[in-house]
Amino acid sequence: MNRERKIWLIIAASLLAIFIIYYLVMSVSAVSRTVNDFDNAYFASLEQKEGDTINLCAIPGYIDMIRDKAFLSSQVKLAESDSVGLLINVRDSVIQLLIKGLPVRTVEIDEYDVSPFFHRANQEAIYSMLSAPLNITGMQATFMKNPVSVKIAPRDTSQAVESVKPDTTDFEAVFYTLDTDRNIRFFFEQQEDTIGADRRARFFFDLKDRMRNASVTMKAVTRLKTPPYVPYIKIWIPKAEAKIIYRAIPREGMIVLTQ
Amino acid sequence: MEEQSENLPENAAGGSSTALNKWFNQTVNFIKTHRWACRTLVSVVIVLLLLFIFSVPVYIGPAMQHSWGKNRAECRPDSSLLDNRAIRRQISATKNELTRLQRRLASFVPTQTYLVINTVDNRFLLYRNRQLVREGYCSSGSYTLLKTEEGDKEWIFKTPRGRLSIQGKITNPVWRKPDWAFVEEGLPIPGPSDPSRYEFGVLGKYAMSLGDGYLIHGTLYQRQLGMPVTHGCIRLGDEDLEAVFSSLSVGSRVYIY
Repeated sequence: MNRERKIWLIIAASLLAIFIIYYLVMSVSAVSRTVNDFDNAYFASLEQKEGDTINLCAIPGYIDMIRDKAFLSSQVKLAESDSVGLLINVRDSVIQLLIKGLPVRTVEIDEYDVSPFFHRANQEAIYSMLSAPLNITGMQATFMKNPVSVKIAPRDTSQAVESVKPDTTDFEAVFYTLDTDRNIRFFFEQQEDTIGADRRARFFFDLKDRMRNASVTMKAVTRLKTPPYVPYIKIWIPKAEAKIIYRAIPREGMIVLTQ
Repeated sequence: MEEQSENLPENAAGGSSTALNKWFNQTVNFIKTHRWACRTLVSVVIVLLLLFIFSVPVYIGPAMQHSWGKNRAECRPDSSLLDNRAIRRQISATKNELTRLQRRLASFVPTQTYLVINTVDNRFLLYRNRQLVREGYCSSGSYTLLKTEEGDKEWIFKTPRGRLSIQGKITNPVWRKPDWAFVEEGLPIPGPSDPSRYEFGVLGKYAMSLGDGYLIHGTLYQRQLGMPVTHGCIRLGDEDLEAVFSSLSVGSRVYIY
């Protein structure tokens, strides 16, 4: 390897290392930026600064009351709407499908993972945000929401055949995301992980989401901007239950969250 | 003897480092003398480097976002704040608001008998006094899109979801076949009051109307209960149909998801 080539190699490696470090710093700062913006927006809406207020969590038991109030208020708003809704109670590890305030199905959460946003943002601000249901703005899944099969009408009675349609989703991996209007993304993943097809589906579903985020972050970083950060909640529940929830929730459905 | 025993570990360490150096030199020589080995090594290094570069935005970045940064400091309760009259008033107001919201929420749960239909598993649950009294299989919409060959007409066979109510109860119902029933069988569509539109005994002994032409009714095809095979109505087995029919009255709520 000649000297000039070596120098170019060292320069390229140094630039790459600098970019990687810059990328990582920007990625990490995206979380704190999102948290700061969120907190500031809340206190701006109160027309006061965070330091000017009494720290509500210092009042014994009060922050729990604020949380319960936000949770109930959100449930009442959901019940008043015509939407089939989803209640996610991370604290008690329970998910419920609600129709007009009536829980029609209750599922226990096997495992969950909450974005650091929820541990870093001001709790009062979070409960204020959660005092109304989140509206679903997008859904992505590894299986069809409503598997419509098309049937062409027969020309005459001799062509007419009685058909019984099997539900093919029993054999499909169940992974999906729900995006909401308040920039919180919910991941629902099947708990079962016993067959290779499920593990592959889990890997590619996860990779697809990571690639999507990486692409958004990369775009922002190359423009020297702090990348956006989407707080998330990942939930693992049994496959059958996850499928029922996804099928039941309308595309413009609502989610009540407490954590 | 003492000197020998002190030197032993050093000799052993020196021996192993010499062996390692020897092995390293041999490997380097091997790579230098074999072109294919050199190429393989360069390829492996490039692949590892690419994998590392790929993993930075995809795995390392998100992992650092998750683990780096300070969580909000734990808040220490200060009981002296409760001496403040304004705070006490605020707490009292919040408690009242909580009670109001709990009552409001409870008012949404019906006290009457109601039916819950799960169209994914094709199961029904009947509740009386908020207690489950009966459950079993049903059949709901097949999610079939029926199209005419010309493509000018189409029907989708799905069960409506949400909160519905019983709008009417019928004993010994007669099925008035809609247009799609003829299209599906490859028959010409008859006039609106043609006798061929009326079919007796196919809906079971009872039917309950949910509005917009959707019914809860019985079926001749009991083996298909538990499957999504209907044209949008909800089919129940004979015994379940009788129990549901006798339990629900006009206005009773039916929750479908």
